[in-house]
Amino acid sequence: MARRGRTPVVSDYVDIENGIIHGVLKQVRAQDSDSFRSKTASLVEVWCCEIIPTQAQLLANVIRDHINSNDEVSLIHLKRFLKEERSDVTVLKAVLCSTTFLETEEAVMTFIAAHTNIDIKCLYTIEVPKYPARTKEISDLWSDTYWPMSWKGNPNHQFLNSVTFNMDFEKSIVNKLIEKYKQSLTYPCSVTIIAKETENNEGEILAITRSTDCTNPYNHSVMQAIDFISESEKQRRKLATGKHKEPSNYLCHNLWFYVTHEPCVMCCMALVHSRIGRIIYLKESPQSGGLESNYQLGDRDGLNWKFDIWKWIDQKDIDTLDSLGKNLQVEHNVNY
Amino acid sequence: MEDLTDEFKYMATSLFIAFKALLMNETPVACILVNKSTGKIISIGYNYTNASLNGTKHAEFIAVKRLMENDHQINFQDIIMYVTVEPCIMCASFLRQLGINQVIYGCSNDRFGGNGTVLSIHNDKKLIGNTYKSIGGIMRTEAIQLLRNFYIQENESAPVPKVKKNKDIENKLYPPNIFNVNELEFTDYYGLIRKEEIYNQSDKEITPIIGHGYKVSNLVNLQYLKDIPYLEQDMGVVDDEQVNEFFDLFYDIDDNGQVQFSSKIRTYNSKKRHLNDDE
Repeated sequence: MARRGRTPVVSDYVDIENGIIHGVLKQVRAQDSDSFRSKTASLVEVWCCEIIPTQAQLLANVIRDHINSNDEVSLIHLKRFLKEERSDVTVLKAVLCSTTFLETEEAVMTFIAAHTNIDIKCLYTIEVPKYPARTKEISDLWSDTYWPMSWKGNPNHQFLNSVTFNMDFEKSIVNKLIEKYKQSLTYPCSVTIIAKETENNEGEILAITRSTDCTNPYNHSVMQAIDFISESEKQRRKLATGKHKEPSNYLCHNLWFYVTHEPCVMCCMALVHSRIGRIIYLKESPQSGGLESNYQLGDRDGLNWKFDIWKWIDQKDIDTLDSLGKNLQVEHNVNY
Repeated sequence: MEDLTDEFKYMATSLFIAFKALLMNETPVACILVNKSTGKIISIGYNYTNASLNGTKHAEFIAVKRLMENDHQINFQDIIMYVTVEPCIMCASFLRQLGINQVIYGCSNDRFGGNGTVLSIHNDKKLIGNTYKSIGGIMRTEAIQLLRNFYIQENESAPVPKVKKNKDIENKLYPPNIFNVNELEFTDYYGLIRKEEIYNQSDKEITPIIGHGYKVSNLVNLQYLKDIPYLEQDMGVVDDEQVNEFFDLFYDIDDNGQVQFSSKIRTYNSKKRHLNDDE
C-alpha cells in the first residue's frame, strides 16, 4: 500500500478533481464506470434490535469490544443507533451484527447475554448497504431508504491527500521499464518490474520480466514475474536454516507492480490472487485489459482483495512506448 | 445428450484427482483435458497453490502446462475440460486465450467464478479472441462436499489463520443449482427432458441416466483410476483403501435427483490423515 500520512494536508501536487498526483500518476478507480455511480446498494442482512435508550452505552460497548473485530462484515459505515419516538415511549433501534456472524436468533440472544445484561425488546433482521456510499448524495439516499449512514467526507479525497510517492524512485522505475522494452527483439511485448517497499517510499527491485510471445498466456510478463517471486521464496525457504529463519513471505503480498501495458484479464486476476499492494502501468489495453478497460479487477467489490491502481500519464514516456510499437498494426489486438 | 455416463466418469475422475490433492494439503479442485474426437484423457491438473507458494497455480494451469510441454502443436479447439469447480476469472481468461473448445464444470464458484457466476469471461463479446462454451452442474454436490472437507481445516499458510466456526458439514444442504446457461444452451447439452425436469428446479441434481440415481462408486473403480495418465506418477500410488475413502465422502443421489442425506458419509481429517466416521 502507498504510505498514508497521519494528518492529511491538502498539497499542491494533488489534483483531487482528476485524481492526479505530481501531474504524472493518475488514479484508476471504478468511479468512472456506471456501476460506481449506481445508486443501487449491495445489501447485506443484519440483526436489528430494540432497547430502552438508557442501555445504549452498554450495547455500544458490546459492539465495540466483541462484535466489530469478529464480524467479517464491516458495518462501520452505518450509524449504529436510531431513535424512534412512538406515541407513548421512545425506543432505540440498533444494528448489532451481520447474520453471517450470528446465524440464528438464539445465537444472538446467547451472545448478548454472555457479555452484558441488556433487555432486548425485539429482534429481527433487516437489509442495509454492505459498503460505504461513495458520494454524499448517495449516502443521503441510502439513509432514507435503508438505515442511517455515517458520512465522514469522501474517503477517496482523504486517501489522495495522504498518499505519498517518492517521485525520483518512481521515475527511475518507469525509465527501467522503457529501457527493457526497448531492448526487446520481438514486439508486441510487455515488461513487468516488481518492487518491495523499503524506506522513504523507495522500493527494492525483486524481479524484471519481459514477454516474448503474448499469444502464450504463461509467457505474459506479469505471470513470469509472479512465478519468479514464488520460486525465489521457495529457494529462500530451502536455504534458510534453523535459528536464522526469517518470517515467510506470503505470495506477492503488498508488493508493487510496474507494467508497460494494462495487463490482460488473466494477469489482473492473478494479481488479485497474489495479493499485490499496487500497480502502475503506462498504456491501456481497451479490448483485453482487466483494469480501466474491463472489469476494474483490482478495485472491485465482491472479490476478496483490492489494490491501488495508477496509470503513468507522462506524455513523453507514452510517446516513447508508442514509437517503439508504431509498426504494430496488431497492438490493440493483444493480451498483455 | 440423454446418456451422460461418460461425462460423469470424466467428472468422477477429476473429483478423485481433487481428492488426491486434498491428501497433499491442496485445495481439492482438479481437472482433466479430454480429446474431443478420441475421448482420451490427455492431461490432468490439480490445484497446486500451497506447495508452489504461488496463488496462480490452479488446476487448469497445471493441466495445460503439462500438455504444452509434451506437444508444441496443440489445437485447443479439439479439447474439452472437465473441472470440478467453475474456473475463476483468471482461468476463464486463460482458457479463452488458448481457444479451448468447451468447459464442463461441477459446482459454481461464488467468489471468483469467471464462467458466469461473478463475471462471464468465457463469452463476453467485448474482449478480443474467441468465446467458448461452458456449462455447470455435473456432480456439483460432490465437488462442493470435497471443498467443505477442505475448508473445515485451517489455512496454516495464511498470515493470520482464521478459526473456523462451523465445522459441521454433515447433513448440510447444498446451495441452489445454477448452470450459468440459458434454456437453449441447457437443452443443447442436457437434452429436452432434463430441461423440463431440472432447469427450473434448483434442488434437483443431474444424473447420468434420466430417472435413475447414482453413487460415485458406480462411476469409477480402482483399475480405471490407476490407468489415468500422470495420476500415480504425480500424486502417488492409488490403492483400494484410498478409493474407498473417496467413495465414502459422498451422499448417494436418488432416482429423482435428490441428495440422499440419509446415506452414511464420512469426513476427511487432515490431522489424522484419515477419515472420521460421522458417529
